[in-house]
Amino acid sequence: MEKQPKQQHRVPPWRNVTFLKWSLQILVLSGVGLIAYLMISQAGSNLRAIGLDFSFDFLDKPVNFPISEGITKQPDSVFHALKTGIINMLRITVSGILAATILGVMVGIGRLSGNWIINKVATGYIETIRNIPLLVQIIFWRAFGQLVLPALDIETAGPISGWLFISKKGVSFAWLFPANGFWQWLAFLTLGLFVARIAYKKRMRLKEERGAETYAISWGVGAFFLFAVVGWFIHPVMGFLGWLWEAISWVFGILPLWGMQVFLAGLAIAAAAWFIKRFLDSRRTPAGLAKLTDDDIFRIGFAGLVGLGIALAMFMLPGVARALIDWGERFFEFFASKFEWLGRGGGPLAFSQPAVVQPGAFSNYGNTGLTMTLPFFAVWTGVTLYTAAFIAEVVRGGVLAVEKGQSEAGLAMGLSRFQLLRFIILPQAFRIILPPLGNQYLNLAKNTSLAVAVAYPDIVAVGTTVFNQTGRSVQVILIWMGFYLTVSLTISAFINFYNRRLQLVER
Amino acid sequence: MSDEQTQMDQLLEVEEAPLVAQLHPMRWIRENLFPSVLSGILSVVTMLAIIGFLYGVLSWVFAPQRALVPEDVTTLDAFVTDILVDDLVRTNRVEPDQLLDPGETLRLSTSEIEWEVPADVGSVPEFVAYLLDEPSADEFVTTADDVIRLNGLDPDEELVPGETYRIQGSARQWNSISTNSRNYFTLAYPTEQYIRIWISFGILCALIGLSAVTWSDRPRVSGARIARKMTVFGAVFAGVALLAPWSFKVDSAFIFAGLALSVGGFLTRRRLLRRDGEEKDDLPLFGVVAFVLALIIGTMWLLPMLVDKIVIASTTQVPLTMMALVAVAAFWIGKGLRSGLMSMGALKGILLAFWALSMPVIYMVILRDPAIDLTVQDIAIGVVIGLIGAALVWFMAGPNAGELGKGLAAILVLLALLSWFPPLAGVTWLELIKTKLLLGGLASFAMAAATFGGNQRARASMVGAWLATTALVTWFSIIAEGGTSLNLQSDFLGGMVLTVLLAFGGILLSFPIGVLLALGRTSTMPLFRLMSTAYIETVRGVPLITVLFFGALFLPLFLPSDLRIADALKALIAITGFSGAYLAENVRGGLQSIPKGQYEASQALGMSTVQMTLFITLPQALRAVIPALVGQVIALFKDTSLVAIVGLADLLLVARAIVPGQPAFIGSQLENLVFVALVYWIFTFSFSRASLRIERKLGLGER
Repeated sequence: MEKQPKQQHRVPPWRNVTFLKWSLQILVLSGVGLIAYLMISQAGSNLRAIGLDFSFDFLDKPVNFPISEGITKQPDSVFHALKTGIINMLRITVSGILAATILGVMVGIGRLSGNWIINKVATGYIETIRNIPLLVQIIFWRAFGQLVLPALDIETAGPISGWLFISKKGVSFAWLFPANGFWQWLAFLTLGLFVARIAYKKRMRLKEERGAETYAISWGVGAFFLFAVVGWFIHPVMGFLGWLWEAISWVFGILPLWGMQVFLAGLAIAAAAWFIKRFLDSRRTPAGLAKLTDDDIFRIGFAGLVGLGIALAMFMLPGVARALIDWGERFFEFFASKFEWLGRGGGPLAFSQPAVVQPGAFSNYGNTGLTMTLPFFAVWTGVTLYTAAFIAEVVRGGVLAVEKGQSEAGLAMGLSRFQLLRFIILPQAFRIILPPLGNQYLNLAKNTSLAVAVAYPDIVAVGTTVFNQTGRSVQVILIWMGFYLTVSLTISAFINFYNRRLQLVER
Repeated sequence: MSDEQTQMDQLLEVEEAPLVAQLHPMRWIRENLFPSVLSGILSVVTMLAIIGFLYGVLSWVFAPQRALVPEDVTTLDAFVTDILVDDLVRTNRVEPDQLLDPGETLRLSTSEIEWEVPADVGSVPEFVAYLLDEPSADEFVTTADDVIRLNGLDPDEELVPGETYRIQGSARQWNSISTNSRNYFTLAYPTEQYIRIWISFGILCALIGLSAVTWSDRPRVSGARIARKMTVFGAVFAGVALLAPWSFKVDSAFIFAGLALSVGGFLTRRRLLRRDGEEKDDLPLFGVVAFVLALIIGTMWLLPMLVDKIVIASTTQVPLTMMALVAVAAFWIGKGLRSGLMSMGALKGILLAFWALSMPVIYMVILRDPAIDLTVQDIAIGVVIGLIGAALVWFMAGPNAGELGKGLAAILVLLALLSWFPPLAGVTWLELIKTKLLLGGLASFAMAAATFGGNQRARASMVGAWLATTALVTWFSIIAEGGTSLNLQSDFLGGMVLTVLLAFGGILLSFPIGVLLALGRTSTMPLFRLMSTAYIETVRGVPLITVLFFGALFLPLFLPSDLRIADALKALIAITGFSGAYLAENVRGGLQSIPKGQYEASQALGMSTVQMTLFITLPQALRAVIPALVGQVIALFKDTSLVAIVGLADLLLVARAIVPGQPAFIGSQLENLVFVALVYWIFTFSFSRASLRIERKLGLGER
């Protein structure tokens, strides 16, 4: 009180909040780092004691175990086996997401229905499915297939001979498969999509100018179908694209390694610079740049460091750039092989009916039609039914969350029930539904990992076989985690992208 | 996996049909089933589909046993003998032509009763002849009369070889479940020590009973609502009985009972609604729960007395009755405590401590029965650190500790961290894990002292808490290092007990982790935010099964090679780490929902960041996310089934591998899976209903 402090603006370090904060953080970080270091060094010595290490070179080693289904049944290396597992996992994920969305939306609408019995059936479905662990359900479907479904017999196979077979060996049904002209037709479809979009926008603009109905949607859909139908017949014309793909592949082939490295490093630094610029812009006020806190400075510094780190890594690890060049070359080569001037013979799609054959002692499904094996059936049914129950609740919640005043206002304006749904409720509900829907897709992708319980060879099941044979459990678990993180981040990136486009612009 | 489950539930209020319509059945049917032509057609089609589905399920569930007539058999008597010989051979694993010792016991697949082989019986066919005359076996053997009755044959009709005929018994092996009830409950736990299991469950029941007191003053349910449920349940029950392939006598009895329940429910509801004009919450919830418990217990005791066929072992009856009594008694004791001796706050505090302690006590002390190996060193370390710590805490919690106290706290934190450094570990007693734990505890008390200290009372309670912590840490480290006095395998837990302990322990342990991670992620300190975000996003991006494999295969690698931890513990650690990340996101949602004014007001009052978090923002955040937390409990409970994949014998593995692996029950997988699905369903469904109730009570989502 009586003595004035000599240096008023100098705070001693033990009273300086910024200093205290950072010393605490650094202390904790070094604590965590220390524990991690101790654990990793312990793991290293434990691994050395049993003659293993952290390296990943076992991926190229040959393996001798069969895989029950997938792009190959006799993989020639660990990497090849894991790749088969990954594709098997993606098969279930993609088809499961499609089916679960359709079923989930139907059940969700049923849950909103005024019809008592439909409502109760939907409620019963949801309450049954979501309260039983998914693993129990998957194992149940597997046991159900094995114990209840009929054996496959060449005479009595059914229920609809030639179209749909259901038996202990799985489900086989008629299907359309891509044929020789498929890729060229796909090019037409893509073109059609662009044209449809342009047509839709033009008609919409015309509608806004004139105020009269311009049938924008019909125009868009019509344009797309025109391209699809015409493309079906003249798809060989698109064969000229093959030359383009070949040219791109050739460019990849002659690209020097350093070129790719410089490009990737530049990309990383540009991304970091873009982030920093955007961040600084967000801190800019009409009165100029706001004072940056230590947190802000850290963010900027961290972004810069990460950008630089990735750029450096591109030069330290030339394998990444090399792999990217190889991959690009092969990717476009593959494309080029699918296109040929004036076609490779045959239509875009081929229809195929399933058949039962008897090569040995037991009858089997032939290699026509689309066949779900029993493990695939168990996992797919399990994740689809389970996710659909959650999606139904998401849909119902989204629709009910649209304020009542909105539909009242719509009705007061004289909209029909369909118009009300189409223009007032669904657009608003979709905005609410999208983020939790994306979450459900993520859950579905992760839940496919339970396939290991019914011996469906997804990446987890193949991985367990690999580490049982090679002992490289550490590496396999890291590969799993890396793969699932990639899938999760990809799905959430898609959802975030659409979500940002749909968000209300708040003023 | 069900983050949204409860949030969605809370958004949606079920719209009740107008009461008038509910009182007049015909009008109700017209309005709700046939509002338009299309809707009516849909109703009829759906109804037919439901009936078809139910019929399929029921005829699977109650499928009668059928037997094939062998080629050389034409008479009924020979057929009956053949069936019984087959059954005895299969169930008792004897050879058909084997000589039986007198005094040996044999059983049939249709019952639990064991029959002794009489002195004059030597072979299996002779034993069959004896069984056919034995009155006590009458219910369980297929006689010639049974075959005639079940297949609608003429008494002198000849059997067709190669055809199948219905015989007594079920084609489904539902008895594999009742026979294995002990395996489902605990698996390998020694039978003579079963009292320990029951004591553990008794503790949980008592805690649940006590906690019910703190739930709310007078939770009530609506009688009219229960009556409506009875109406629907009775009707469904009667429908099921109608579709099930039972005998006419049984069928009609069940249909009558179902219809009586339904009509009774409907009339009660109408009466109540006429009187009150609406659904009124007129019954005390706990009274209803106690009534239902009494009903179940009563049935359990009365049913075996009334129906000869049903046998319930007294080792099931007595403990279950005790459990119910314990829960009810605990509720009344809690009520007495609250009205006389204790404030609600004190009761809640004590309960919280009990819940937190119950898990380690049950696992370490009661189920494992530690062989305690006390050494002087253990006691000395505990006493010395405890007393020095007590003095330090007393000083640091004082109002005048000031900078010196903070400096002291910093030194203690540094000491606690340094004790884990290998180079410092030349001193043997510092190397002990209990010393490190005690120092860590002291450091956290030192950090908390400035926040919780103050007047004499606060100081005294802090010192008390520290001494209790010391005693607990010392005690637990002693029993953790010691062996067990029971004859147990390393993984002595299995079945239901394992499932419950994993779920319960997982949620208890992941709670603090989740809160810390959420605080880290919302913190203004970038390094903490970075670490928390990295952890949360990594864990949320990968499936639980990889985390469980991580626990099973990685954890042993990270630890010194002489330290072995039980498989159940590895799974628990993995589940905790996984669930912590999800909990953190829930808590973060709560933290972000708190208005900015709350932060500003507490800063204006001169609170430190720690005080603001602990006393102002965190309590409000946690209250706001209770429904999400219950959703997390449900998800965690379902997720525990995944430990079956890494080889732990939980409920699912018992149903999937252990029971169908028994020679007597090969091929019973589907029955057992249906059973565990039902068990899981009952648990999760009641959780989610309870969560809805809590939400309504808290008034969340109504603002």
